[in-house]
Amino acid sequence: MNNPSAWKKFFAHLRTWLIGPRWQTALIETVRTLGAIVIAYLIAFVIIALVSDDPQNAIRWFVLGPLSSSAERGEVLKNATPLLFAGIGACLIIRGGHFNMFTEGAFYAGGLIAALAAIYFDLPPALAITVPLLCGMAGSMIVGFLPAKLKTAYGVNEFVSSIMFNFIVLWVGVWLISNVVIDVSSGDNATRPIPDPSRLPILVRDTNVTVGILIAVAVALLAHLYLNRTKWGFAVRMSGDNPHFARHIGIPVAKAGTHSQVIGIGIAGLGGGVEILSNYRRFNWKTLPGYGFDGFMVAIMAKNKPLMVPYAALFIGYLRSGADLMAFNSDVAQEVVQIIQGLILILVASEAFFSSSWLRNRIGALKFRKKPDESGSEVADHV
Amino acid sequence: MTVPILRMQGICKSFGPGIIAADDVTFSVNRGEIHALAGENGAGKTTLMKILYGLEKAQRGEIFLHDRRITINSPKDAMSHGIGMVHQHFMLVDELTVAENVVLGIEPRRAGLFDRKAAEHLVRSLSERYDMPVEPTARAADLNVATKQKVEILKVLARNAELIILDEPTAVLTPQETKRFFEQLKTLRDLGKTIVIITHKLPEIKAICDRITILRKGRTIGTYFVSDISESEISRKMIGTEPPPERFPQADSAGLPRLSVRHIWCFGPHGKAALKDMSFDLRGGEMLGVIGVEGNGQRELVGVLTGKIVPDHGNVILNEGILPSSLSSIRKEGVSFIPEDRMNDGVDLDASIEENVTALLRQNRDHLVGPFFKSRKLSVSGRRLTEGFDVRMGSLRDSIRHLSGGNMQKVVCAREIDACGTVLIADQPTRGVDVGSLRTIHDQMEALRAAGKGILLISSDLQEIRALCRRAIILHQGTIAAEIDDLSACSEEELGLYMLGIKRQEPVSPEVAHE
Amino acid sequence: MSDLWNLLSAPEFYAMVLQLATPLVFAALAAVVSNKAGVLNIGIEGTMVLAALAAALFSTWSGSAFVGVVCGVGAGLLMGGFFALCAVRFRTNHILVGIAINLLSAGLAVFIVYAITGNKSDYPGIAMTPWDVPLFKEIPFVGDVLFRQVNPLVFVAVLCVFMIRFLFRRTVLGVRILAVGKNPVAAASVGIHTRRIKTVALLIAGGLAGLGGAYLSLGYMSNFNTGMVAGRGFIGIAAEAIGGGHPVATALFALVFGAVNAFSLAAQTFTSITVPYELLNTLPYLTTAAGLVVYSLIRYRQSTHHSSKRRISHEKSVGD
Repeated sequence: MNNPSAWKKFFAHLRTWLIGPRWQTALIETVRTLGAIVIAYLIAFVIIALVSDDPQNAIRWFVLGPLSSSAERGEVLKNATPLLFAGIGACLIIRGGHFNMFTEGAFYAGGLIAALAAIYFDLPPALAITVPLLCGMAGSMIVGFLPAKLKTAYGVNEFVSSIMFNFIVLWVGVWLISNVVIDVSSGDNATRPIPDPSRLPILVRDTNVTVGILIAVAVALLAHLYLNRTKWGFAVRMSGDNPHFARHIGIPVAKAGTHSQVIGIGIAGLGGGVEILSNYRRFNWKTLPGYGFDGFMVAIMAKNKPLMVPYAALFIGYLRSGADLMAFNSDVAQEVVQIIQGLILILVASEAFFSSSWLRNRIGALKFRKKPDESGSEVADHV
Repeated sequence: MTVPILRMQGICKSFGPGIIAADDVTFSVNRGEIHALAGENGAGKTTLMKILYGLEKAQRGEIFLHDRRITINSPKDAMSHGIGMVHQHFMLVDELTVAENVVLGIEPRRAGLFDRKAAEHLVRSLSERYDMPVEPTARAADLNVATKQKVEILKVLARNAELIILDEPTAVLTPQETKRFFEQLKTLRDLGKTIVIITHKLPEIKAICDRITILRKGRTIGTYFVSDISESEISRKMIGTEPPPERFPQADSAGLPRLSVRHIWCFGPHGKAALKDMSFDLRGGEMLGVIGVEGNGQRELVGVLTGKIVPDHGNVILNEGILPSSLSSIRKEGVSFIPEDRMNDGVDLDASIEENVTALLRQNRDHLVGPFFKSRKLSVSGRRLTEGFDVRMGSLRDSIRHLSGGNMQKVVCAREIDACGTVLIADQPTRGVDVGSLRTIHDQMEALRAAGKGILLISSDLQEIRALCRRAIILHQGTIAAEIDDLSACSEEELGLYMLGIKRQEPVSPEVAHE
Repeated sequence: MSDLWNLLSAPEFYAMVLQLATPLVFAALAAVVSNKAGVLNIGIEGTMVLAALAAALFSTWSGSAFVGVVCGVGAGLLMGGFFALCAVRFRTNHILVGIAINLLSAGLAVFIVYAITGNKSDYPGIAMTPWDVPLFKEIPFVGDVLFRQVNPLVFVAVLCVFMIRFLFRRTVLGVRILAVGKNPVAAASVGIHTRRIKTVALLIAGGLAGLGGAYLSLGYMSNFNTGMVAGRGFIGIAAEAIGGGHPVATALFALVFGAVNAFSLAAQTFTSITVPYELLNTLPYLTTAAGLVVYSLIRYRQSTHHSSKRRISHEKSVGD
């Protein structure tokens, strides 16, 4: 490699590889996401500065707090776990081309059913965790089948119907824990305590991190395999990307759509179970947990790629931990997180923000020359 | 005394390298005439008129109106110069009434509010003056096609257009409606309007046009008085005399019928027959060409063969059984299908090249273990297919979005030709494709034919069909105008006469006779 | 049974129906306007939250309920403008914009309340003084329902229904909104600025949702609390879908959902049978979902009936 022309060749090679379309796209998407995060943070800082008497302190807790100790880092993981489940569920639903919000209700139903199964089935230790989790998952899938099927079979707007189902599930659940399965000795509308064998074991000592996060990561891997390595996932992706094409190659589009929604909902239900068996002594949720909407946000941030979801979930988990610490140690409420999330969601999802063609032209100016007709057609695709 | 109201000079327009829609086109229209702008599909007629109407921008050239040079950047500019256009696809808002549609964008107001009475009055007076009766209060959705067209023309008239461009106005009309429509056009002309009709229907040109300008491959061939030129001359000038195709198919070793279409009738949404009693056979080892000007039943025929449309009468026999009802079960019979609309039906732009080219293999047992893909085998197959079709690309895993049109089409053809077990239906397989890709696709289709498969080639490119097929059917208005057993024995001129409906073969082709 | 009879014969019940239907009517009208412009506006829910907060805040600060309502509408317009900026200008997927607005509004509302009061749920507002309509209030029964102690915004809601009807029937803007929503290509071809028209429509929708929010915190109650919108925006969207986009039909369906809501509240006081209030709470959502399903089924039947000859698979007729 002493020969300068060999170096030149090597660099030329490296460059074509780096700015080939695939890497170019990845690079652009990364830059866009990071840009969105930076902008959202800046806006959040301005808001904090406006409301806080000691913004420096608040921002320090917000940004550095979650990394300050191993317990806090554990808190990040703990916060990321449910987001991971919800995000993967949302990924599958969006990839199939739907906006089914029942992941929210599924989280509630999954948690409730898992808790009840743990409490009322007298399970041997070996099954004490798996059976409740599977029950939660199955239960939420059964309920979630309705809005999914109604959409694909009759065109009932899945967004609105699933939100109605969320509220129905919530109130039925609240009714159950305040009347039917209530444990009066708890002094609350809550179930009996979840038996110890059913509680997920702690993974990292001195933190609240349970094996739930391992399950979540495993689910992310499985979802990745499902989407990219199986014929079912292929059918889901094709139907979501371009239903005309999917039909052309003989894929039953409606079936694939129901499929992906129900599986996505099942994953959210599993997440609800994991959340309850990890972090709660009793089931006592009286509002919807909000993870359904967060999951969509996480999925969009991860560009609907299951393998990217853990990073997005980790980031939002970090954001949450920071906000919690900030709320505890300063005069700023943690809801600033939702503001940041909303902003990031809009920026990441908007086509015109750092639009791909704009960035591609900038990067393309390095070397990669495109034929004019192609760039033209690309603009047309976006419209 | 003829005064050119409009002159377009030296118009050049290309859509990227190699796709030239207008090459130094000159076009001039006189006041108060009906002027036909004729040419084959892709000759550049519509593009030229879109330039005039401000929907496309010419790269070079000038437009003169009343001998004054004007620039037109948008339809609004065109309208302000008194130029109006009726598009082939109507631009009506179904939910609005006729009157609302006519005045949309130039609504009459009274006290700041929409003056519906004035709008209806305007429509009534226009429709009276120009003899185009329409009910101003009817909803656009409830109108039939002929009335919709009237509304479109009223829209243009309401904007005081002097020059009216009509893009293929009779394509959707029945013969009776066409006749009535022509009378109305003559009324318009007699009242001083100038009309340009984009068309390729010779009888119509003869019937109402004063002059004709013929375009071919983006060039002006000439402008003639319709009374001075015969239909066959027009046809020859439109289609041209190309050098004979370089390759000619060998005599077909025609095998058994793979696909038999028997007395198919299909009616469109307004009861207009799109296919009338169509029958033909496709045998194994032959490539059957379907010739015809677009819009003469090709789309419906493909719709029937792919299970999208159920024929109203008649049936289709595929491999000795009735054609299944869904595309996926038709595919199971070994039929594959190159769709006309590549971007919509042919590919998933968000997926990789490999996924697109192996999309059919991915449902095939050979490439699956349980539900899982055999990844290595898939990439081997993907490589084999893309190499076989000489797809120029970076990596198989790049998004197909980045491929050029020709390469994308090669991916589609590779997938479909590879999956073809018995019959291939190729709908415009080489439209908008560069010469190199075209040759590859033709070679592969020919190889497939030689392997004993039946191929139905639907193409608006006569040269393509002459190069590949020995036998062809010619569609005209949903019927088979002629069935040519040996294309080499038939001149282009004769084909042109069949395509344009000037000549018809008397039916009774042998197979149909002994049914 | 006597409970039911008592309930149905009491004018108070019908007054309550009106009260509960009012925010739904506003939300549904907002959905009507945005849908006519071709936008599925999910952000109505979040817009109502922020508008409710703004109304409570500014009514307390200014000491005037009227100022509060105006500020609520202002907040709605702001959110409508934000939606338009994202969806029309930045071409973001409408549903994602809606989700983002809902996330953002919920967070922002709590955040603002906390920053001001230090608690996270409530903020007092000044309720609008209910009106008595002289003379009319003397009409037996009807007077009690419609003209005695009625919040002015209830009348505004009724007025809005007819104003929206008027907008689409009698104004140039209305006709253009319809054209842009149903066939943007055709609208653009006659020189209409589709973006501008869409933005205006979204602003109107924002303003209507703002009225709905203001009514919640200054009419229905006299304080803001973070959970008070409780899916009413979504129920409004459903009412719009079932009403087929006609302002009056949509408002009637909103009234039906309001009645169910009122019933679910009133039934909690029944003595003869006791249904737990949690289950009664599901009623509005259950009826909405059921209404949506019935409507879609009817439409699906019609579409398959029309295209019985053309075998277009479900997804196609159903598709977006």
